[in-house]
Amino acid sequence: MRPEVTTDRAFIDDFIDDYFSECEEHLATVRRTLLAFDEAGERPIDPPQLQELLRALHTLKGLSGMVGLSAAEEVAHAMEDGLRAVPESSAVPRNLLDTLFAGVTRLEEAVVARRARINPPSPGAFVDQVRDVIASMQSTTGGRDIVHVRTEALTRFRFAASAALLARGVGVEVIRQRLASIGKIIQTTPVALPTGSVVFEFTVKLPTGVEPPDEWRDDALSWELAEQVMPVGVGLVVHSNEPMESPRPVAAVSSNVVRVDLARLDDLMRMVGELVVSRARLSEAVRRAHGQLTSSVEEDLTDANAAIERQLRGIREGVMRVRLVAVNEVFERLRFAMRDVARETQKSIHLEFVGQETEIDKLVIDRMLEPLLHLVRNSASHGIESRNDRVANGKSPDGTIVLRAHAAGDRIVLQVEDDGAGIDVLRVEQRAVAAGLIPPNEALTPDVLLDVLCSSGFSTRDSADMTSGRGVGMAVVRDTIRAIGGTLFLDSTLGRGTRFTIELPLTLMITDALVMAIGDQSMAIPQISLREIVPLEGATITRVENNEVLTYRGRVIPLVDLGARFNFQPRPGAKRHALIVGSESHEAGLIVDGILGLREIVVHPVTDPLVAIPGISGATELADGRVSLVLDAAALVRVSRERTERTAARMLPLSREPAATLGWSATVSEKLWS
Amino acid sequence: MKKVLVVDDSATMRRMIIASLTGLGEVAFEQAVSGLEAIELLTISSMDLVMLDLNMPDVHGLEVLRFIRSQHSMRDLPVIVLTTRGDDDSRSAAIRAGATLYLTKPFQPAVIASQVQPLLHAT
Repeated sequence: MRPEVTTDRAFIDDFIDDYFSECEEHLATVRRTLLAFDEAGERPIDPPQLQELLRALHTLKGLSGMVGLSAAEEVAHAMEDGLRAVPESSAVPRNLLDTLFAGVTRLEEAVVARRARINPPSPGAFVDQVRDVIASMQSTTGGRDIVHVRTEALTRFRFAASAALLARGVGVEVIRQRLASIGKIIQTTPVALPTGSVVFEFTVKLPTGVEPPDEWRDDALSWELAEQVMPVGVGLVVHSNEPMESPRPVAAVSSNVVRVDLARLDDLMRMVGELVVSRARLSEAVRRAHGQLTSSVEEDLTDANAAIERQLRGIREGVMRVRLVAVNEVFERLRFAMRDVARETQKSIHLEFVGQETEIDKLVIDRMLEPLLHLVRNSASHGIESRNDRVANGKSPDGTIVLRAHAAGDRIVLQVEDDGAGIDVLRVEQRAVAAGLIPPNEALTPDVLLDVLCSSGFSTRDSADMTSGRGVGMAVVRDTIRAIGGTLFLDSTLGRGTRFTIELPLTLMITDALVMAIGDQSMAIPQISLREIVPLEGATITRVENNEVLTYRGRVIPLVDLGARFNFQPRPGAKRHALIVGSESHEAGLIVDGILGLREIVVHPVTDPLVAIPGISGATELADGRVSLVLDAAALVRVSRERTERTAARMLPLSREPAATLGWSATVSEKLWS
Repeated sequence: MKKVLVVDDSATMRRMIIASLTGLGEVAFEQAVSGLEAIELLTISSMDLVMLDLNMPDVHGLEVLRFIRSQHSMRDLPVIVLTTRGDDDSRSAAIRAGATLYLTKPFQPAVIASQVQPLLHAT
């Protein structure tokens, strides 16, 4: 046993948050590289990737030791040992790879335990396991020190570092990242000149057709074609002797990144929110002072107020951008989880990503990890059929799960779609009736279907039944999504597949909104969800059964009378307007009694289920201190849609077109039925 | 004012090292995230001491150390190799390449500070 090093408790506490966030980074690298080895199968290990993995483990080991988390330290150490035992130019043996995947889970557990301030599981068994695996691997020793490089057409770059360049931000790290972004860096050599200065030589394999931009020459960077690279000793670089393909994505770790505790950003955002409200009060005061001040003072006040508004908007957008991260981070973790499920269930499943570069608030996406994990697991274990069943039904033997992300106005849409068996609505209906969840003979509307699937009474009745699996934890999934102001939708075709759609707010809190009068109340609606405002004076309104529709520019738009819907006192003599919201194919006109103006508002979500009202997404404080409710346009379009459909009472064939627009989610109800 | 270059690819580790050494009086810290950057900074400005990690991307710490010792102006520059234990061969390699001291992580802040102090003030 190594001597125990105990670092000062206070010292550790100072760095524990840094530790957690840096761990996340290295764990992501470990997962990504292990998956690459998994995909490579019998092909020999890619040395740069192996180095990257080893370095990540090494750093995890070192950092874990510093914070006294010896469980993680020992696991990372054992994983390193296992990898170092792999002979050069061979693949990672299957049993080692499985052990390494298990190791990642051990590492995660240890970190989670440290976060929860409980004792982590002992690493002893894992360490023994690695030792056994190493012993079982036939060790063919090779000179790891010298690696040969294929003769390739390579480009040699030279960068002459200088203080002047560094002063304007052009340092060797910047150059390295630049080169890594256009090709694959094969070798890096610092060359000391007799003058005392230094030149960095990079040997880079550029993809065919890629030329470095000429303006790079301004940064003391020059290049030429290099025919051949000589083998070199260890220490500098390790070379690939594998046929070189297109460059791999550049590692996400970058030197000019600052880590910030999310709680601090939340504080900042909250303070910006308070500032927005104060600024609105200032505006209001300036407006009231009109005529009571000399005109030059009033002008100055108005100008200053306008400037503050502009600057505040800049701050707000800046803070919001800082909080955005690509959903890819979470998608990659799902890929990792998928591997286990696929092995457990003996299915071959492709996981595809669409739109993984879509950015979303860090807090929002972190909360989505568990629900997404659940949906993906369900799709894999219950949605995708066995190979034999798939072939028998004329499908390809391999199942596919597609994870999609895209932005739609102020919402982010995430989807988990499988090409599996789909949900048997009739069976769900029978079982729901049997369980007493719905009255007999009641048609299972899409919302009710989702309710049934999400109800805990339904979930675990029969583990062999495919729909039951969907129920396990679905209640938790939906609650988690609702808690941050999101919505879950379901779309399934028997025999063709199932799609879950999650609509989420891009960020919580501040937005531009139109404030309007409805009856004796004022309400707000996010500006981004508005498409048009139509005065209703003299407009053509027709009544179809119980619904009013507006005929406007050749379109027929269903109307929602907000005053009637929320039971507000009607306002006599109001100038009524219709706010057109929704997508082109599914729009609705919201009737309001007057437009009060555009304001920046701070939205506080209304998450208490007891006060959750469809069509209301939150509340805000106006400049005069009154509280006003914020409308959820998407939900109102849905309400209008469903009402129209009840009137039409028909069932439409289900289409399998992918959702490309915001409009899709509003059409769930008509697509659900086959 | 003494200048210390802290070379480590882990941002947390760099912060920990700097925090451990801040009690040593008037010291300015420069940071390098890679061996490449370390060499760049060393050629551009002069340092009084280097805290050097070994396991880094692109250019290994040993290579940085060899570079330092190959430069006449830096022959006597104190270089403390501070690396995660487990590389059994690295200690002798680091000493051979000219490391002034070889210390391992995890480290105790006070121990690091006590080792650095005499080296820093001898120059």
